Amino acid sequence: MTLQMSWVTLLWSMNAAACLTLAVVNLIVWLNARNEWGHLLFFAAAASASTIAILELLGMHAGSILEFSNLLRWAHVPYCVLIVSIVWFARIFMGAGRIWLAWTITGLRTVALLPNFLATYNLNYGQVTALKHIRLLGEDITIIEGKLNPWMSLGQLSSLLLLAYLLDASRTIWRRGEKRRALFFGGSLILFTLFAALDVVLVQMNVLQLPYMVSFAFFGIIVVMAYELSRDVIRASRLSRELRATEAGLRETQQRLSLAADAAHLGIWVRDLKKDEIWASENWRDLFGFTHTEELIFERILERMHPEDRAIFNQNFTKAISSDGHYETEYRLILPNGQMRWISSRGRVETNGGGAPKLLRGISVDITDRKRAELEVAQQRNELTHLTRVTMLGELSGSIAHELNQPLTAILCNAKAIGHLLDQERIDLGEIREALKDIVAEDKRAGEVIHRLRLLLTKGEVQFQPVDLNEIVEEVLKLVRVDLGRHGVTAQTELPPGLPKIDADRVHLQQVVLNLVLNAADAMANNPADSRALIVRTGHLKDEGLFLSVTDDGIGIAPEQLEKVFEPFYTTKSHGMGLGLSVCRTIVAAHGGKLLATNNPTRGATFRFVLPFVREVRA
Amino acid sequence: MTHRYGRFVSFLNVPISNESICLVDDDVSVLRGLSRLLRSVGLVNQIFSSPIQFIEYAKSHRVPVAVLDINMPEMNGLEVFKWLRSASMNSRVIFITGMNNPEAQATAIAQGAIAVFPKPCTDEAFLETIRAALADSRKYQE
Repeated sequence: MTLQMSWVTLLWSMNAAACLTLAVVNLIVWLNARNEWGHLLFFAAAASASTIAILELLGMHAGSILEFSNLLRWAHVPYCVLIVSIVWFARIFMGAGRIWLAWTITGLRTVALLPNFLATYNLNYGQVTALKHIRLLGEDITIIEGKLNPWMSLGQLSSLLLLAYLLDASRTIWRRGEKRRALFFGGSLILFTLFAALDVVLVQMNVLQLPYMVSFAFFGIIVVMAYELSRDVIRASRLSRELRATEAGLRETQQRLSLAADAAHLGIWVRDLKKDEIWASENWRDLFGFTHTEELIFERILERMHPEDRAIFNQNFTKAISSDGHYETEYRLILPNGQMRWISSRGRVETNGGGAPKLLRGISVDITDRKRAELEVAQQRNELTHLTRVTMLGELSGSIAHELNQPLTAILCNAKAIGHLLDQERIDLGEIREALKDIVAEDKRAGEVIHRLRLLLTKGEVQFQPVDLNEIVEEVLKLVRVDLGRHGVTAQTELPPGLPKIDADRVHLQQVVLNLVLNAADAMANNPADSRALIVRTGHLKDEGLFLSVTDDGIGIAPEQLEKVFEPFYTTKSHGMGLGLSVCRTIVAAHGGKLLATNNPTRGATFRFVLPFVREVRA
Repeated sequence: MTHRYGRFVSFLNVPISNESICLVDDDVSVLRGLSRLLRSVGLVNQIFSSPIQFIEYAKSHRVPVAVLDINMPEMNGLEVFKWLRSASMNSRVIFITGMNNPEAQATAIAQGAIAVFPKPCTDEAFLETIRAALADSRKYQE
């Protein structure tokens, strides 16, 4: 036999070579990534396809029936490997196909090898009758004729099952939404499988006077599989490119963040509670007055904190652990050089599974300037509050004089009476003693008036302490009663007894009530003499707080002015600066409430505010 | 007759039980002081810290002289005075006030009050005015 270089030899050899090349490439891939089973299965399939092509070519040039038959017998081995590889490729790589079908096909194919090797000839032929020579593409080739082996139905059954399996797998892929893949991968495989099966049947039944050309069907299958695999490779490389881009982006973001942190003078720190280690950025070290190389120990940091603020710091920290882990706190630092610095610190506590704190991260920032400004504003506000209070008391000079005049009158009466009693023949010591007792009591009363006035007149620091709201109302009404009376205004009260005490600044609250009462009286200045009553009410709003309202029967407020009245320098009076209500609102806000004005359904207006039990601490 | 009621009362020799000077002021301390002062000079008096109570009293008693505070929460002195006149009580009325309120003072005088004294009203003129008013009231009654 001379091997002629012809089309047949060329086509089959190229087929075998191409499959082998793809097989080797994928074997290398798999060797480098052992968990990529798709590549190993592909290698097995492609190597088998290559082998089948070679066996087919050899068969075409077989010299005897026996030679041909043996080649065919051996071709069943790669054939079996190829089918099984396709099945598991679909299963593992494409994630489709029924597992029981996959096993059935694998089993059938393997079992089919038995009759193949036990038979006289092979699985295909029970008896070979003749060796025939035909011409194909200008070349003399060998084909055989014979009787079919009944066991061949095993192979045909497995081919049918393979078709069913691929159909089902394609349907799954389609339903998954990968329609292109279902059509291309499933469709091609089904077509090529059909082609291979038909080829075998037609050749064996001598319908076609042609050699076996199954290897070309398999070549098609290999190409389709290779295509799917390569798409995967492309996708992987795109992903890795994207990942690289993301990484670069992250690095960039990180750099930008730390730049921003530096620019904003943010100090960043991390405290590892487990290792008892603290790391802090250079900015942070500058803020807290540590050198860039100094070891950071928590106790030493705590020492830098203002002693008054350490408790609050610890409180906030403990609260953070027990709640959502976020904390925010402001404290003062005393730097080694004695300088004071305000720090705002916010951070997060990371806990382990059991809830025990593990790691703390946070940022600290210098807020000294802001604090100074806030302090200045608070001071100015306090001064303004005081100024308006003093102005208001000035308007009340009549009342104040009266308040002092009453005890003074009583004292003088008693003193004069004592003088007269002493002039009498029989001195009534009992009466004198009573008079002296009254003098002492009245002196005390005058002293209290002066004390109250001094409290209202002096400019003190804001002091929150538990106060009785009703008591405050009564004191104010006592102070203004005479002035109100002079304007024909009567003050009624609805003060339910037993209100809980509330944290407030007594003087400031008195100022608010005083201001509201005087405004109410002013609003009724033009009312008929018998309808000038104002009502002061207080009450308890369940869990919320206490309310206070002052209702007048005056002209009311134009709807568009209801908010305007709280603006500074807004006034309807000929006297006054128009600061009263604006200051009142500020005071109420500092107590966590809001002073609001509404018009009554009938006549006049009501000013009302709520003092919450839980006061939001204002920064 | 005890000396406590003073020479004046004993001199006039009139029953004092229904002839008391009435002091009306919402401030009890001031009332106690005034009452003691008047007693110390023999002026018998009744004290009322509420104008309403006083009016109730006046409905059934003769009130020769009433000393009324102008500024009182329930009813001011001028209104009490108005009631006294409307009830044609022949009471002599003297006002006292802790406030400098010329308008009210002018009104009081215009309506026939004898005098308005600013607090603290403890001097001899005040007492003298009361004595004179009391005498005048008795003379009128006779």
